[in-house]
Amino acid sequence: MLLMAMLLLSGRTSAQVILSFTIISDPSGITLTGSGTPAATMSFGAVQAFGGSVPSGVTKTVGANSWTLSTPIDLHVTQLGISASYRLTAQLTLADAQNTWKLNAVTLSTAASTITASHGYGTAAYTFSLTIPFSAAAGLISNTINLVVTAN
Amino acid sequence: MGLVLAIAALAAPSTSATSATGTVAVTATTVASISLTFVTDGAGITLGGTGTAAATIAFGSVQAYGGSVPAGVTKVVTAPTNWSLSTPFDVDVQLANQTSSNYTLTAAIASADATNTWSLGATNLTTTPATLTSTGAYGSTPYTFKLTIPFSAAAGAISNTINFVATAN
Repeated sequence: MLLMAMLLLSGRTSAQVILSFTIISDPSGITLTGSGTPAATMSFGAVQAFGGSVPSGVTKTVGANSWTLSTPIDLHVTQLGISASYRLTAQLTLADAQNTWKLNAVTLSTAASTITASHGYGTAAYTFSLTIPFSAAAGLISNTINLVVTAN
Repeated sequence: MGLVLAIAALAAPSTSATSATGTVAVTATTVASISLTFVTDGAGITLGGTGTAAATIAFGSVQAYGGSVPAGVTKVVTAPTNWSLSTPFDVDVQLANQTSSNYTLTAAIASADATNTWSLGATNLTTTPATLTSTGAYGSTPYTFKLTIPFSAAAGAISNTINFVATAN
């Protein structure tokens, strides 16, 4: 009896969670290249504080000393296992002392920042924003946001 | 006893710290730009469209003698030649993503007016752009608009548009 019970339970006391994580264009946001994969690209094109235009799904806000481009993106996280939630961290590949990069309200740097400590699985929208000071020289801005989803 | 311990382990399974990663590459090419907006001056007439680049000044029904003028408007009668309406308004010029210490501001009226005199500060306006400043400081600057109407002019509507151009130096 004891032996049978141990055999039945063998391998089930430690559950391995298998995560699937993709980045998707939000219906209200900019169209991502590589949507539906874990490696997406967001291209704002040529943009300016005053006048001009921004891609569909992008909001431009002009402040007293800076201007901001923002857009929602979706993260789709699923799991095979028994995890009830996940933790999301994000960090920039390159340090940027001039512009401000945010995901939701969290300012990103080259150190990993927690965007959410506990979020249910499925599709969730996160707002990306890039703030550019008026004092910055015009030109190309480029960086990569590295996202890590960890099962809780 | 062994069975009890094994069941307890099933009831509280452990999960290993599993993670997945992704990347979002972001690019934008910023372009230098300049903004010119008109703002109601604290001592002037209330502009229609204040805070935008297309404002309106409406004096309403006015007359040389008697009557009234809107708040912030000064009427001066120079008998027997003419009378004028003047009011300050603010021109706000902002610059983004370009190095420039000042700007040049020009103004011109859209339609020629051989009867009345349109001026900004000491500059009389025509349909040819006149330079109001060649070293304007970025930010908000008050300008005094004045419309001078001769006594000899017939009564009626007076209408024109002043076109401004700010250029970063």
